[in-house]
Order: sequence, then C-alpha cells, then structure tokens
Amino acid sequence: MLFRTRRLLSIAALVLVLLMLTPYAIGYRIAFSDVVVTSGWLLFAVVAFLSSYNLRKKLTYPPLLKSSTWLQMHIYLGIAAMVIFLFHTSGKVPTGHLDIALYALFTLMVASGLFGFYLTRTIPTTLSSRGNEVIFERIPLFRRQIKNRVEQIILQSIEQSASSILAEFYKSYLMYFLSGPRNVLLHLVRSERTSYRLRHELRESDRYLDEQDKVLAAELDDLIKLKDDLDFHYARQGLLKLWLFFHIPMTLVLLIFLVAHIVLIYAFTSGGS
Amino acid sequence: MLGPDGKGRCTVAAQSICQPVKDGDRWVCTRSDVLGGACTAGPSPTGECACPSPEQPPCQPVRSLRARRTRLTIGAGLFAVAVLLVWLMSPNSLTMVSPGTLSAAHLAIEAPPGVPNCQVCHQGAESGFGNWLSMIASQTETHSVEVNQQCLGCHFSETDQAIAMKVHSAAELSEISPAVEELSMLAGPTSFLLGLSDQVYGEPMLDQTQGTCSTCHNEHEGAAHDMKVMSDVQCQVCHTNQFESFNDGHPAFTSATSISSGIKFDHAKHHPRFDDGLDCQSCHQADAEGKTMLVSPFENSCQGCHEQRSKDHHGDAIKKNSVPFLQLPEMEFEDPVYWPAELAVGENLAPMMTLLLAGDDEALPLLSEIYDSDGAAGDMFEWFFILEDEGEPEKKAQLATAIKKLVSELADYSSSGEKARTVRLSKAFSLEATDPELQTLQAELSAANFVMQMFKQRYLPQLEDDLAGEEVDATDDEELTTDWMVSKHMSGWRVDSDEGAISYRAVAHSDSWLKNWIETLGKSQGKTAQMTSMDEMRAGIRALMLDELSGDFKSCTKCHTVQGEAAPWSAAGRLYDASGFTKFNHRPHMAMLNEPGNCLTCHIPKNESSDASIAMPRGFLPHDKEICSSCHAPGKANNTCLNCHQYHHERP
Repeated sequence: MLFRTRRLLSIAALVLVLLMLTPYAIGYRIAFSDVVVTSGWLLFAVVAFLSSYNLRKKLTYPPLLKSSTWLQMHIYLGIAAMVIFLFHTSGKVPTGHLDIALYALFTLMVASGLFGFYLTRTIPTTLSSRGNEVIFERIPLFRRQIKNRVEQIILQSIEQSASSILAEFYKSYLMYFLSGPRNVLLHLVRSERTSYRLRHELRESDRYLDEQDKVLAAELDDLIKLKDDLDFHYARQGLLKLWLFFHIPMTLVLLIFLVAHIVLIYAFTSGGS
Repeated sequence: MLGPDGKGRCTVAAQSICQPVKDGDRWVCTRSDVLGGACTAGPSPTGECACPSPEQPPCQPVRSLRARRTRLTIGAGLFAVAVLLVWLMSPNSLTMVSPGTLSAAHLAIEAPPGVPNCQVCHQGAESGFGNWLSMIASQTETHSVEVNQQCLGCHFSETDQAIAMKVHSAAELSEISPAVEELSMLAGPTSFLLGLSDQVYGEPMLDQTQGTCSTCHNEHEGAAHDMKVMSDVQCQVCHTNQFESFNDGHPAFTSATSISSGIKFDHAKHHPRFDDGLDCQSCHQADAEGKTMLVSPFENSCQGCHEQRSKDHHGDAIKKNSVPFLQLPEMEFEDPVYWPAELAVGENLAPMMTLLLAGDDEALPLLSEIYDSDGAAGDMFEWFFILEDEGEPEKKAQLATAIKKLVSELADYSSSGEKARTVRLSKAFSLEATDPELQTLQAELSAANFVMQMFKQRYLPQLEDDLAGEEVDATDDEELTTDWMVSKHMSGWRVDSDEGAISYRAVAHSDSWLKNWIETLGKSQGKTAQMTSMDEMRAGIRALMLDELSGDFKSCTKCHTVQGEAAPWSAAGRLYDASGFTKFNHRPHMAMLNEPGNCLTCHIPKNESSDASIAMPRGFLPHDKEICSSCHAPGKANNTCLNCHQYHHERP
C-alpha cells in the first residue's frame, strides 16, 4: 500500500471515529446523560495505550507490529485523545488545584507531542541536506578523528614550511571549534554563519601560504566544513532526542495524576455521578 | 571490542588484573582471551605480571541517552508521587483535591470562608486520604442518592422531598394542569440536535428514577457558574412536539382554568370603577425587589367600598347570610322525652352542630345512620321512617339526649364544661387537644357561653334536671321571643325563637369565629394516618359537613379560596399552581411603563365582546403573546424557555 493511500485511510478512520464520538457528546448535553464517566475512562484508556508505545520500543519480544505502525497509531490516537479531552472537560478550564494540574499536564503533553511531531517531520529532511547520515552516538568519535587529522595537518605544516600561519589559525580559531559541539543554537535555525567566517578567515590567509601549505589549507577547509556538518547533525538529532526527555517523563507524571484523579472521583462520587 | 559492563565500569581496566598461577616450576598467565589474553612477555620468573597496565587507558563510561531518559522518567514519577502524597496528606488536602470553587449560592457551606466543608455533601471526606481509599470500596451507587438527600434537605420541604425527583417535581403532571401533560406529549424531534440525541440515547425517561440533582445542576464550576442554566433544546428533549422557539410556534397564552388559592377577584367588574379614581395602584404595590405585585390588605384596598363596621348589621351584602349553629330538630317520641316539641322545628341537623355531635361517641353511630348515603342520606324525616321500619324508635330519644348533652356542655361556664368541650372538639376534628387551632376554637365556644346559656334557658330550662334523671315536662317551659345577642365581644349571635335555633353572622371582616371554624376544619382534612373505625366515621361526616358549610361560609368563600389544609386568607398566600411553571419579574417591565395606567398594556380586563368560552377567573383576558414577543426575540431581549418558565413545580 502506498504511503499516501495509507495516510488517507488513517485520516479517514480518525475522522470517522471522531464523528461517531461527537454526537455522543452533543447528545449528552441535550439528554443529561452522564457521559463524563465514559469519556473519562475512554481518555484514560487512550492515554495508557499512547504511553505503551515507549514500552513497545524497549521490548524486542513478542513482535507486536512494527515500530513505525505503532508510531502511526500513536499520532492518530493522540489527536483523538485531544478531542476526547475536550469532550470530557467540556472545553472549560477547571478551578480545582488537582484538576488544574491534570489539565496543565495533559496540555503540556499535547504541546510536546505536537512539537515532537513537527520535529520528526522536518528535521530528517534537513539532515539529508547536510553531509552524510551519521549515528548520533558516533558523532563524538568522528569529531575526535577530525580533530586528530587537523592536528596532524598543523604539525605537518610546521615541519615542512616552518610557517606558523596555519598553526596560529589553529590556535586562534580551530582549537576551540574542534574541541566539542559548537554553534548548537545557530544550527537549530540552520545558520552556517560561523563556519563561513572560519573558512573565510582561512581563505584570507591563503595568499601568505606557500604551495604546500595551500594544499594543507584546502584540506583544512574541507575538515571545517565536515566538522560544521557534524555539529549540525549533533544539534538537530540532539533536539529530536531531547524533546523526548520532556515528553516521556511527563507521560508517567500524567498517568500518576490520572490515577489519583480517578481514585478521588470514585472516593467522593462513586464514579462521577 | 569491549564496552562497559552492566554497572557502567570500563572492562578494559580489568586487563590489568592478571593473577599468574604457578604450573610446576613455571608461572602461567591467567588473563582470559575475552580480556585480551596473555601478553607476549608472560609472567616474570617471580610470578609478576609483565604488563600490568592495559594497552589502552581505561575509558570513563557515560550513560546512554535512553538510560538517562529512563532515570529522569523514574525520578519524575517519584517526584509526582511525592507531590501527590504531600497534597493528599497535608492539612489542606480537601482544598487541594476540591474539583473547584462552589457556586456563589453554596459558598456559605464553606466554614470559614475559603475552607472546604466537603463532608456536608460527601460523607467521610473529612477523615483524610487513608479513608478516601476505603471509601472507594464502600461507595456504591447510593452515594449520589445520599448527596441528593443533602440537596433536598435544604431545597425542598420534608413533604416535597418525596416528589422532588419526579418530572417537574410534581406528584402528577395532570394535577398541576391538564395543559402541562398535554405539552409533554412526544411527537418526534423538531431539530437536528434533538434527532441526534434521540438516536444516541433514545426517548427520555419520564419517571426520572435514575436522575439526580447533579444530572442538571453541576457544582464545583466556580462562583460565577449558574447551576440553573438549561438550554431550550434540553427542554425540548421532552417537549418535542412544541416549537422551535418562543417566537416561532410558541402557543398563545391561556389563563388558568380556575383559581386554586388566594383571593378570588374579578378585575373586569372593578375596571369600570377606574373612572371613579380606582386604579391598579389602589390595590397593588410592588414588593421590595419589585418582582411581584403585592395585594394591599383588605383595610387598604377593599374596605373603602366594601365598608363593614360592627354598627352596620343590615346594610351590606357581605354579612347578610347567617350561619346556623344550633337548632333543635323536630322529633316526636313514643315515650315521654324532655323536648320542646312545639319549638323544635328543625328539618335537618345544622352542619356545625353535627360536627360537634360527632365528638360524642354515643351520638356518632346515630350520625352515621343519618348521613349514610345508602340510607337517610342526611334527611332526618327519612331517618325517622327507617327507624320505624326497623323498629328502633328509641334512637330518636338517644339523638335528643345527645343534643341536650351538647347544649348543656356549650352552656357550661365551669372548667369541667371547658374540658368537656375540648374533648368533644378533639374527637370531632381528630386533632390533639393541644392543637392551637382547636384550642382557639374552644376559646371561641367558651366566649359564646352566654348565648348558649340563653338558648338553654329559653328552650331547655329544665335540662340539667333532665340530664340528672329527674322527671321534667316541656309544657312547664315559658314562651320565648326572638332576640339578637350582640355585644362588643359577641357580635353576630342570634337566638331565634321562631326557629328554635342559634345562628351566627359575621359583622366584620376577618371574623375570628368563622375563620377558626374554617381553619380547624381545613386542618382536620389532612388527618388520615392510623384511623380507627370511629375516626373514619368522623372523617366521613367532616367531609360531608365541609360541603354543607361551604354554602354557609359563602360570606368568606366569596372572596377567599379554601382548599384542604390551606386557608390562604391573604393574596400573599397564593400558590404558584395557578400560573403553572411560569415566572415573571415585574421590575424590568415596570421600568418601561411611563404611566401607572400602562399596567393595562398587559393586563386587559375582559369585556362584553370577550369570548365567553375562554376561562378568565380573575377577569383578565389571557396575556397577548405578541406583546411579549415584540421585545423577547432573537437579538433583543432573552427569549429562552427558562426566562419565563421554571423546571421545578415546587420551587427550591
């Protein structure tokens, strides 16, 4: 099945479910039926299922569908949860402390989920535009390899031409640039200003270099570009992983508050009546 | 390639841990192949490791992002649990778990202000978090019923609580108004939303046995939340055969078919007097809120024309009717009986006298026979015929004795007479002797001792001797004359020598004698629990006498409605039954009237050309809906159902 066809079917299924839920909720308001309990349990079930996605990724057995299928279900059920949440709360912000906390947690969950959805839909395409695909955990290794190669080039330059121009350049700019991930925020907004400036500086000193150093400077230029691409990947892939540092812990907090909410509802009203 | 071990330690460092062992006369390296195996030099001849340092320096393992995220997740979860426990176990736990501020009307439940008083509605709430968990197990579906009882305890009277959860809080819709039941007919939805509701939930349950107060009234939604709000479409869940809105299909207004209580007043008859200076404000003034137009007291609004002073006995129509109180019935006896045969001319027993006779256990069976609908049906002569047919003529003598005993008690000045009258009244009305109304009526009878004494002296002067068992003869009694017995405190008594009767007529408004009789009778109507056979007989006689007396009391009932226990003497006692579920606030409407006479804009008296088939019990034409809908329309004034109607028949 084509991706586009699958997506159309998924959206159609989601719209169909929501259309089935809507008359139920509207009818409740008219007929005074106690749909809050039903919508509450439905919402809890959906949130619990959404939360199980992280568990599924940790489990290698049993093979319960592909992770990509789970992700699709996670997205569509997440949208359904937003609608059920509106039905459950009648679109009103509660005034009780615990309920406000619960409302805020769910809202933050939805916001972080939508943010993550945006990131997963935009970052991968930008990564492919800058260098080769690289595994996030191996970026420090590649960065060290680039730094080692740059240091070799600088030593080679000193040995073969007794010129200190590249060494000074390394000391002034490259040593800091290569010692770790740089310009993270600039890369998040896809700015290449720093690498352009570095490479511009290098080119400016090109006229003072002899032919051998010019060859080395050209390699340095490539390595600066490579390091900048690595930083770009580090910043963007890092963001892809960082938002989960909010989304997943908040999921557990939300579940705990939901359980407390249900306990209190049943303790005080025998089920919300 | 080796990585960190399960505890995050560098396994490369383990390469330095070589413990050579001696195999014969040689030392052998024991480093496993996994850790790099034996080095080329091998252990020294003295058994020392030749390469204690690893080829690569030990790394410093760091946790993976996933591991760090897991730790953060667990930490956040623990923090959340800690926060919840602090919330739930703190002294302010009720504040923390409260789902929201109460509505403004219920804020008084909080004591002191701002501190929840949850246990008022949620039993056990004050006992803390530990008990809340056990409450889950103990809570059943009856919880909502318990909460309901808390609501009803404040909002409904004890008697109305039984019907509070019924549709419109009415025992039977048809009892309120036939029109209400008609309006409830289901004839299918009139809008898409209603159709949707019908499809999802089916038809509404009119018995409402599963409804609770919270079904409609949501609490904990803030002080500004209106708990009474209800949409038009929600009304139309049941009233589906009606109309789209007030301006689209709402039926024309009709007047109540009858006056259920309050003052009967025909405005149309009084309207012509407007030219003489009478106007609406002559009788009606708005209450403090301006919501309801009150009726001024009789002295301010009616007496000006319907003057009725104690000096004027004969000039006013209101007081021309007298109420027979005591009359000796015409009876002939086979055996000698002390009885003024020439003067006793009553054809039937007077209702008041019958009621008092019903307080005599010996007279009660006789009354039952007289008023037996299958026998004499209240006709004395018919009863006499029946007695003769059945060969029981002595019962006439028994009745005469009962009447004479009554006369004696009524004329008795002493405390024993007062006590006897109290016992008689208590039995007659099936009320406790200490009942305030009954006590008042007894006091009225005591105040009339003088008249009763005169009656006794004139008609039965030898009564005490007769009752004592001595032989007496009525022919020895003197001839009597008619006389009025009127004084400052006993106005209106009349001893009629021609009729052999005592009658009473009111000579002033709000006559206490008649008022007490009506109130005591009304109060006795509701006494039905644990009735003995004699109580049942008395109740039957009271019911019959009430009908009889309604004619005797017409000087009162001409203007005052009397129903059951209720005796609303003033217009302020008017119930809402007459107006059904309709409410109206005069204040905003009065502000739009420039002149007093503009009341007639809405209140139009009937006239000669009015349709006689339309019920107009107060003399007004039904309100013209067009007058209301000219302002109450979409985009103008509120035109929702609840603007003019209330759901609960008994207003909380």
